[in-house]
Amino acid sequence: MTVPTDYPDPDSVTSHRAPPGPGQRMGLRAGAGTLIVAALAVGGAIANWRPINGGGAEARERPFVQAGRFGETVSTRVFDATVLDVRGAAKVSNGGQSHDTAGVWIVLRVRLATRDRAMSIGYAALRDQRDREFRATTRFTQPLVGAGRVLQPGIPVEGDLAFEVPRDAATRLSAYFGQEQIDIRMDDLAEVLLPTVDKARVDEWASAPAPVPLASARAVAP
Amino acid sequence: MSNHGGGPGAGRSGLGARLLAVPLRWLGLGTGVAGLAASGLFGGLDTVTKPEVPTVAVGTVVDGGPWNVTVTGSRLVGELPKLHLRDGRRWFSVLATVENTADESRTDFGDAIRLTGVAGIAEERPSQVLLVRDGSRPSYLNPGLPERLAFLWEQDDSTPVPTSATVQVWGTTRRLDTIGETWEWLDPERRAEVEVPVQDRRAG
Repeated sequence: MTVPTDYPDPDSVTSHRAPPGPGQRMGLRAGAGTLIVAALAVGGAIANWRPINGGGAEARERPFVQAGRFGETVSTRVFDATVLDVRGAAKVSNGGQSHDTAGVWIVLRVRLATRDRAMSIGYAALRDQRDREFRATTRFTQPLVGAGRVLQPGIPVEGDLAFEVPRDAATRLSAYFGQEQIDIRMDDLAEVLLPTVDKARVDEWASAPAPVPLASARAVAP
Repeated sequence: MSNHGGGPGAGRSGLGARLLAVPLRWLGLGTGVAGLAASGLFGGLDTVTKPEVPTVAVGTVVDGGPWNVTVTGSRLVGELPKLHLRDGRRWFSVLATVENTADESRTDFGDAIRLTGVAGIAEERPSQVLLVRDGSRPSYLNPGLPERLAFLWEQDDSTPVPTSATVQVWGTTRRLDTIGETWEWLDPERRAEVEVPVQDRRAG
């Protein structure tokens, strides 16, 4: 009878592997434990890896910024923004009340327009040369920022926006506008570099006694 | 004749066999005790004392992070414009100059001051924070612009007028958030305590 090669004759098997003894079983378990600990250590190292000082999420989730010049219209995906004028003051008046500041007021005349759908501008801020952020003041109602003013497509709105900044920050500022009020990660931002102002001009603003009246928001022709 | 036995009394012997025979519960307990003993060798079982919070004088700048806080006084006041005060209550105010030392406008300045152990006040955190400059309630404080703030608590008007109060200045630490992988001000802790005299200004 011919024996198939897949089924060798048991008598031809030259050796058997004996079942592992207690020592071997302990060794196997210790080996498995070592591998688990090693896998956890490698996983932990990968999870805690912080390339370039960490904070990678901030770079990944940074806003999409469209930059433009003072006086020009900056278009983001959903809205247009134009900074028409910059003024400074020691006091501003709004609704018949005067407001002073620990620094200096920066007042922007701004035109905002949405293109396709009704929306509000939730974020308006200035940034200085040290990359410090100064949000539009909330000491009084500003009709151009927040949910109070809903922009309608095709109807631009103009008005003043007031910001408080330290005097040493007022010489070189950029303005930013966005849709989201709190979380601006991955939001569309319009950036406008404001004209440079010398320190003497800032001091002049900060010492002027007369309050600068703030223009309320109004619809203008497209 | 086989050399593999199977009869009674023919079990494995040696340390390995004994360890394998130990119930898992006892093995876990033994491992835990061994871990505690090892921890104790390196000081893990030592008594930990709570870090002392310094007491500073009125007018001292406390680095709260992200706030520089200078507590300047405390007052009892009655009705305040634009604020609703329930019947049988008065305002307990703590005055402090607060400067935002971060590089962005921040909303959490209300967390910088807390009050404990004052009769008639249930909450540690203030219910309102006003800008002394004009009585407004700002949502943000901007960097580099110190502002004098009034932190307000409603106090039961039937409680005796306190002569002083212990004000806590709290701060946080800027570190990488391990979940969001962003730099945040986290881990709130007391940074200092200030014993402030309380002035009753309700008549004026």
